[in-house]
Amino acid sequence: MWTRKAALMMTSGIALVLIGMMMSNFQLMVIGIAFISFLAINGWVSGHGELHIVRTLSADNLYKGDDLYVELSITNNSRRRTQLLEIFDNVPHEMKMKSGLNYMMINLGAGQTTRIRYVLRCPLRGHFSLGPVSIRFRNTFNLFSNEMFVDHRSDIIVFPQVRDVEEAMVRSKTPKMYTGATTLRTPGPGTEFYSLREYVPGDPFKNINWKAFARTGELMVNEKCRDAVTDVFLLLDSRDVSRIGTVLKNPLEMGTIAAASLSAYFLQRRDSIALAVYDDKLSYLPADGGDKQHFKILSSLAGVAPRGNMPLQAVTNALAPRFSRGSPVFIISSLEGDGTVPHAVRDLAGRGHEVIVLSPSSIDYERLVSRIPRMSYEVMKLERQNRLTALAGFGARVIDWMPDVELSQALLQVKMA
Amino acid sequence: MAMKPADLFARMNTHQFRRGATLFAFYVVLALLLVTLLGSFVNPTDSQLSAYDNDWDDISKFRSDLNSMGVDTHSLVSSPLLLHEIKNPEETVFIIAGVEKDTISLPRFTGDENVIQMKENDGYTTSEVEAITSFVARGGTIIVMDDFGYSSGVAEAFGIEYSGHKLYDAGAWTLDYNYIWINSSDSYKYTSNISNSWNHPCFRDSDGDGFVDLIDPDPTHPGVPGTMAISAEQAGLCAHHITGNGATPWDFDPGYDLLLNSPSAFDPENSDDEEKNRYGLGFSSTDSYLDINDDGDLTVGPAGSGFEGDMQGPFTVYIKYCLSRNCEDKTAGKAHFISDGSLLINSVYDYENLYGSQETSIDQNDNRKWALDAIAEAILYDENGTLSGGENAQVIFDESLHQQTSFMGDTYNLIYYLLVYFTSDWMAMLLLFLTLFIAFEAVIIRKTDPEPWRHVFSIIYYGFGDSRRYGYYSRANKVKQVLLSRVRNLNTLTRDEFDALPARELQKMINDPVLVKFVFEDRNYSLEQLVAVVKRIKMWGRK
Repeated sequence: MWTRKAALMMTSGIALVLIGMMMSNFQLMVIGIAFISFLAINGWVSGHGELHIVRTLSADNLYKGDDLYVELSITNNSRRRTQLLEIFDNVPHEMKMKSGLNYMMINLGAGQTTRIRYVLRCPLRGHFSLGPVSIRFRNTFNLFSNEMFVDHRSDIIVFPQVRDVEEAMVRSKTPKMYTGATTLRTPGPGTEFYSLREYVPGDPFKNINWKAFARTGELMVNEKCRDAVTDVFLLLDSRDVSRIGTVLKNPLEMGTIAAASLSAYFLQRRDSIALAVYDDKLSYLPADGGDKQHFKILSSLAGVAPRGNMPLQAVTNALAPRFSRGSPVFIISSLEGDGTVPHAVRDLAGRGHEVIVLSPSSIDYERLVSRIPRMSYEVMKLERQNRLTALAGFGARVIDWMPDVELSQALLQVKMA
Repeated sequence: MAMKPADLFARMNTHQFRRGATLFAFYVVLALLLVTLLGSFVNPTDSQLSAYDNDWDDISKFRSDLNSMGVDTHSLVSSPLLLHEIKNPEETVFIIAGVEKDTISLPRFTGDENVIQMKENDGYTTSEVEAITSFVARGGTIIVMDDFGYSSGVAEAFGIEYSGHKLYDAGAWTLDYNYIWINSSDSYKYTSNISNSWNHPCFRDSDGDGFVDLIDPDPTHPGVPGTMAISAEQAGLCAHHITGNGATPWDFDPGYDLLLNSPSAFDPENSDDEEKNRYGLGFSSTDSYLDINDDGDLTVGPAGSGFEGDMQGPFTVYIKYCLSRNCEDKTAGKAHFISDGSLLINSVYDYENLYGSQETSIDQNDNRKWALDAIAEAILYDENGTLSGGENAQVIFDESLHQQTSFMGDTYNLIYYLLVYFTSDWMAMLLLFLTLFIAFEAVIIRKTDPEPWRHVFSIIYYGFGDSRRYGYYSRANKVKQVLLSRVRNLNTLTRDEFDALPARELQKMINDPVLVKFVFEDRNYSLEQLVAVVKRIKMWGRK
């Protein structure tokens, strides 16, 4: 590729030759020919990119906000010098250079090796690829440049952050046969206190609450919550409208954090988690437990992107046969632009599911990027409150998640409700 | 495995295939265009009147004679515009022998009230004609031999006009009607019956001793140098005057018997004019006629009959133009116009030999003598005691408007012509300057250096919102709708129940006179009023 300097020199050379011919001035023609000859001679010298490049990463998978250490090893395997080369490791724009540089100018002799080290911060979840490695040769007079690529790529997955969820706020009414230890909100053998009731013959003596007997004069026994297992269903709204806000702070980003945190919490309790992400289509990860499921969920959440406009009721209708009876269902959605949400929630609640709606306040996220007139903002907030009230009226427990509120604090709203 | 037709059609319907097919078609058309364009410049037919081909109809013998006489010969393949560059025009002869094609030209500035001339004459461009006339004005000599060709522009610049019709001569023909004799007893009688041949270096012999003055040790003494013995080397450019006859060893005859082949003639009204130093020196016989109606036959048209008849001769076929009166100034420019392009073709010029497929012998003629005399008269202007040309003497043959037989020869000529034309013609130079200026601008504007590589962290600039809905949420109707939804939700009513609610009940539920008025009165609200209403709605929810 010619640089601007070379192009100007060539144009000047031709112009001087032609003007020299017009003016019958041999000096001008000679200068013009000298320009062109200089370009021609410079064109003979070129560098080469016959390099062996190896990139080493500190991790293939990491969480949002973590640091990634990268080392690029460049070896000249040819028998001649590379000439002056610029080496640039292409890094996604979503990653921040924390230290070091992904750029170096080298002039390697035969067999020589050099290394580039730098540290990236990954503030955004997603599937990313480092590379290819760009190589550019510039000749001494900066007349020509030649760009090459070494198609060496390294894929990494940046998972959404997993935050602490302190309290178990959900208890299924239906036990599951196999694994898990979610406390069910029905009396039975267990460890957690459920209620007091009158003694009936057959009750073990160890369950008698002697303090209550002393106070009332009647035999009372402690009933415990039954320890059992359950499936927890997470429905994540990834529609196009969920992008409102900044790239780092928007309903979808907060939703992925919530989904990752909740799934980590329940999986730690040996429950099974199912994840459904709906955007222009429905992606469903069947309920399962364990680390493998955790990885699957995180990978799935890393790849979600806002698109489409699938209604929630279509999701609940499609998943209805897969919902375990009485299992809690988390709906993580900003609830914007979907008129089917009340019906979907009503159907779920009607089928005996405990529905928890975790709703990032998209209006407040929108305020981060757009100046909303005060009155419009107040009216929109009122409308949103109406929407949440209506959902609560259908039997869902609703969490209005504001941008500056931590997930654990937001979830406490359920406990307090 | 054989591909099914359906698969084939499906494959042909893909974007990739269609793109490939389009590209293929584009390059095929481009190749055809190029081949056609280049092919048009490769002329498979034989050229004629070329100084560098040896066919019977070329003029290579004339060129080789000049070379053997020590005169450099060159060909001009680009454009006569280069005549401007000749430093010694007085020692240069420019020969135009038959102009076979037109040339490319641009509109030009005229310098008069017309300002610009859009259409050029056929043949040479005006700039080229100006270059030729300028060459003559600076002392150069041109010999123009053409009949019906494209050199009329050059002739017109000297006040001469070709008739454009074939000349027949019943009184002076040989072989067949195409060959016509033009006999001139003295071609150096310009304005009187006194010959000016004394001014010609090959004729001037002041003392009459047989030695022309330039090589006569004492031009005024007949006894010196004695016996007439001039070698061809001594004779130089006048060597063709050596007869080999002991009685008359030197030919002092100023007359020429020129044999022309299918000539035309000059327009009688625009031919010789002594007052303008244009001298008619060669004429057809009185039995000649000009085939005005181009029917190939003599046609007599009685006067007043309305019938166009052919013109009766004699006609001027050779005109000599000199810048000086009677061509007395040897260094002044000269122009010879002959209305026959084939005057010097090998078969006529070198009548003693047969060329190529030539079977018919041509009669003895003075074409060679005339041509070499014209060259000698032009080059031997200096009294330097020799009949050889100076070191700068040269004869230039114009090949720019001849068809070329060599592969890509015309393409080469065209490129060379364009180069010369665009660096010599004012309009072309102006265009070239503009083109160079635009090229410079384009390079400066469009050509960018490779961007310096650096990592850009750019996610913080992203953001999405929908500002179009803000106006909708500040309308009174929307606020009203939100209030009613709030009332319905807080009173846990379904839509049907709420719609069936009597107005009085609804007023009771709202229980706020301002909001009741807002719901039931249909009027316009100012922004301030709406703000107040919204504040009240917020407060109402908390009651």
